Amino acid sequence: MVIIETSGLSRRFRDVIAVDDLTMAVESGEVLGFLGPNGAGKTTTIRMLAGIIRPTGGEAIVAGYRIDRDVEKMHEVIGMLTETPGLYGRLSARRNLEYFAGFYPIDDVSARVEKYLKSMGLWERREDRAGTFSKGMKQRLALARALIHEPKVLFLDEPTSGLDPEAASEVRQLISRMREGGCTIFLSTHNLGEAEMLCNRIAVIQTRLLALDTAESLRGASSGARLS
Amino acid sequence: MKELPFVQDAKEEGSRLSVELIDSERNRPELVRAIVEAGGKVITVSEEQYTLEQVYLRLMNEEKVSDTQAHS
Repeated sequence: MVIIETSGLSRRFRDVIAVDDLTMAVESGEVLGFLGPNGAGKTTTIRMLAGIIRPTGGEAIVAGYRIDRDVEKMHEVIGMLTETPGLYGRLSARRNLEYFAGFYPIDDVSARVEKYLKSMGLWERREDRAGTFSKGMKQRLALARALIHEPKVLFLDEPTSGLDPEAASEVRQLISRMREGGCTIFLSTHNLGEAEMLCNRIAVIQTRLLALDTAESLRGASSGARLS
Repeated sequence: MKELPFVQDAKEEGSRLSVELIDSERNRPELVRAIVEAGGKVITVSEEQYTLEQVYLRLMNEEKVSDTQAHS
């Protein structure tokens, strides 16, 4: 079942075309890697699909909702992690999650917060202020925040950017576990190894879509022969 | 060599030749045949699988070239 579908999706900022005519479909439960250089339109695409900015052309449907019409309903079923964790440093890890959980219709907030603090390995540090956390811990807490309402689709914008190798590896393991849990993940990354390790398919974008396939097929589409 | 329809790129490295092919599996025998018919000798043939990084960089280079052509 297709859960993200874009048709001619475009965004222009004055004279600059940030995203041009993006047409693609993502299957439910799939992890799609979104690769491209800085300024290629990755973050703009995610911001459009998450209903943060409106497209200037084309359309898209995410989890059954049109991104330009049903934004509030869509926000109940999507989660997002940006490059910056967006946490309240003076609040404890637990209070941060309780605060963000309050935006959603969750029956037992305490149980939900406990579940995600434990799954992100932060339960022992739950009463510590988020501001005292390392970068990797902040990113894990931000992942918990993005997952607190158990979204159908998770947008991850360069989730391992700026993390040391150990913290990045931990975040990758968590993403891998989410994948096993059936969550559809739209993963923007610069890290080709990360994309290859985590993603079912990879989209390469440079304002427009240049390629979309499995890593294996992308490699196989242009292989060579060495003769002597 | 580059004129063959299934050859994307070819580089000579001494007595070796690295050839980038469209649909390598199907066209490798065609490549060998073309070399032999042109009077060349082929001693060994090995497949070279590109990394995702190489594929990515090639896509980016192709995009730069097509962008340059569109603006010239």
